[in-house]
Amino acid sequence: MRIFGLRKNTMQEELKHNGLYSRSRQALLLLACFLLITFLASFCLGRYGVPLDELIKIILSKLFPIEQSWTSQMETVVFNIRLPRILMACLVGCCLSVAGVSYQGVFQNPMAAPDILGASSGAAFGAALAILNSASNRMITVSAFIFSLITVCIVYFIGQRAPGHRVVNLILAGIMVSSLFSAGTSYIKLVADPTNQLPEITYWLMGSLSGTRMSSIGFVIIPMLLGLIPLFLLRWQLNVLTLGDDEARTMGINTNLLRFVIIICSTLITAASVSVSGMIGWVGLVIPHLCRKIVGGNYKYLMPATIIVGATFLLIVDNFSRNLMATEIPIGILTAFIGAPFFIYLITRKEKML
Amino acid sequence: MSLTTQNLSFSYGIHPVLSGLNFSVEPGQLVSVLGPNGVGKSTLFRCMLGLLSGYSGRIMLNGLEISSFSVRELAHRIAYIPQSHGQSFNYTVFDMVLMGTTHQFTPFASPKKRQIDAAQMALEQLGIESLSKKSFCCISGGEQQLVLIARALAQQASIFLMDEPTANLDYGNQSRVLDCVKQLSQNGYTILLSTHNPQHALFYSDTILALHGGTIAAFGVPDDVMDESLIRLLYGMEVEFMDAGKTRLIVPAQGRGDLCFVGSHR
Repeated sequence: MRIFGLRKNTMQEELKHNGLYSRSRQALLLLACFLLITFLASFCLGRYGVPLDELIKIILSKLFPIEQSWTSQMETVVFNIRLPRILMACLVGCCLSVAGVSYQGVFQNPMAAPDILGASSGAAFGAALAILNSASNRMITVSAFIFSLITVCIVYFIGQRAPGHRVVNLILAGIMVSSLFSAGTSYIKLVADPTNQLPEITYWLMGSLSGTRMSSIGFVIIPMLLGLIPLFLLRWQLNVLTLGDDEARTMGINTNLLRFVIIICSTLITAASVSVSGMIGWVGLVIPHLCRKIVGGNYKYLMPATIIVGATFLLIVDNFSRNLMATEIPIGILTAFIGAPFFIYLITRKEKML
Repeated sequence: MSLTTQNLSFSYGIHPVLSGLNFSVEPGQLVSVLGPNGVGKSTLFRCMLGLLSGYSGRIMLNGLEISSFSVRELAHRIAYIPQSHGQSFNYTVFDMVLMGTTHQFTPFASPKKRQIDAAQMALEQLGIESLSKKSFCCISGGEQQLVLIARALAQQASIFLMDEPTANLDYGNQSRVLDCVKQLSQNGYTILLSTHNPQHALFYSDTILALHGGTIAAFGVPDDVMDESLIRLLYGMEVEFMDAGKTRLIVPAQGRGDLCFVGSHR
């Protein structure tokens, strides 16, 4: 009798529960569709036009035998030029946003961004150093990646050593070490050859995805996946971590270990992104906020939403950067043009919470 | 589940906070922890929750030392109910309650149907299921406190530690929250709560644990241990106890006018 009553009860609860999250699920589905459309449309945009029907045929021809009705240039443009760039825009957008949303959880602060622990300034220093030494493009990426990781390691080490509140220490250490590496970058700019090296450094710092090849995707995809997969799986734990250390621990979370893992993973994906794209600001701050508006604060839905919206956003901005003018506008400039006004809107909002 | 401390001491650096506490709480008891500000009520709770590790002596659950439990195992046994608090992120009430179940699955998983049912049941048990979809930061302080209690219920621990559950609550909400706490202890939950209101301790609790100077000033049934001398010892003020049928009322002593020099202009 009692068991029967309980079963009936849980069925009702299941219905209620579906109601609780259905809005978030629908939103995720719509966002995913929008990403797919943007993804396909991006192939058609550019100096060398590729009609949509030809594009679909070109893509399908890799799977099924289809009679060739397109020019071989079209195929080259689609697979060798646009595909790597589109993939990279999606990957970088997704990684920066996920890193932002994860750092925000770890630091219990909705204003945290991927460069809070100095990953970006470290990467900038590494890239500038490599350019100063006339290194190849590949070496610039590697150097940026390594220096980005080194910076965060230093910050984390200082944060652990200092007495007092751990989260505050990390943020303070991040600010200080960042400014140290920024000063280093400035010094390199000062001594760099102003005819070729200085413009290259400046251009790198603006952030750009131009000239992306499949090989650079091969280089960053491994660290990106190594960071993204654990972050995605740990997303429920992030919810609990945002309540603060004491509460999270009493709910069964090993907070120090979890924070360490999340910082490592977030740093890995930030470093990988920045090392191929240069400084692209605001994405990691703005996209998580936007996603909180759409699906709510629960990381179970926030994390996938951030992945999708981050990828879509940077893809759209990159399309503008490719097509808006005859010469490319560095994508870092465009994201700031969009990000800064959004941030201003954010801090002047009347409501307490976003 | 019984909770026992043996010779529990704790010091921050060279400042001793707790020295040699011995007490035992039986299942289903509602214990009020009284004591002036800074006497170490929070420190005691933090030790029992496994948040402070540098204590000496023993804290035992059913005869097992709490440091022998992993974080998850401890969460399965003791739940912490903090003061209702502001939140930097916006969660729905339901998500907030659901977070209590986190220790039941591995770190890489998310709540399943069993946990969702537990959260729903906890909300229904406190009669606040109508709040489910509301956002936690937009409900009243009293409702927030009830939600945090529901979270502890969803955690399915048998011991609740509550840190001043009535602080920041209005008169009506204080009673509502404490009535709810009383009900839970009658249902078999062991509850320790810290409070600054001796009247609440007298009226609601089964046992009073009074701390003074890092030691136990009194431990026992409220009617036995609560008297004028205990209040004088804890808070340095004179009170009178007045019979009011079901309970005794604690009334500050008359004629304190001459003591009120604070804020006097003369």
